[in-house]
Amino acid sequence: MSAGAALKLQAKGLTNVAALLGGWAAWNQAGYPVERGAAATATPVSANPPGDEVAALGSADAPVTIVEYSDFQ
Amino acid sequence: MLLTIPEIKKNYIDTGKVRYIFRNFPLAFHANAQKAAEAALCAGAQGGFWPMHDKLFAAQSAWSGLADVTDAFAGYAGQLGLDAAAMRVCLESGRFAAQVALEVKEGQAAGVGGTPSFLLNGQLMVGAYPYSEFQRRIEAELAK
Repeated sequence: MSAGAALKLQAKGLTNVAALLGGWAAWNQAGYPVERGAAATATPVSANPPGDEVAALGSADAPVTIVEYSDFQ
Repeated sequence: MLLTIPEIKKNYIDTGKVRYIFRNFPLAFHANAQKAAEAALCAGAQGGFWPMHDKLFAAQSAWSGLADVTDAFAGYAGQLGLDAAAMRVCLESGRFAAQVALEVKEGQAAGVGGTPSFLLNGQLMVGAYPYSEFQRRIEAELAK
């Protein structure tokens, strides 16, 4: 979190608080792992949008599907 | 995920347990990310999505700062044995611009806000995870 957010939590009495240089955005941008709670649980996406055929590996009948969202840059 | 895919591919994709789909999520503050995404899909139209995918990641430092990536990406297409002129036309016409936008929209609908993000049987994973975490989650799904 940002220094501002850390100060607010400390002001509320929390002690195990650390500020991240650059905040959440910098952490994410650096590619470090993050996890989200239940609120961010995925909603279904269409099973077969255009492009899947060229950008898919493996059997269409496989029991597990992994969809990667990435940026090449 | 250049580093994670090889093990997932060998142990799960090639054995029929995992289907792996790549979708583009170019970030607005990466000036050339949109065209890179389009280039991958343009290559896909020629049957070369994954070679271009690998090339774009491997050569990232060579093209990320360019003012115009068309020459570079057409060159990569040629190096990969694809039709460089067709790649140029594809990029200049923006043939896959709408599809990239659709992929972003679908990602956002699924909760994706940054890259890399993954949906493993619909479970959102945000960030770059080690292979061991993919393995754990895949095995958990296979055990269901």
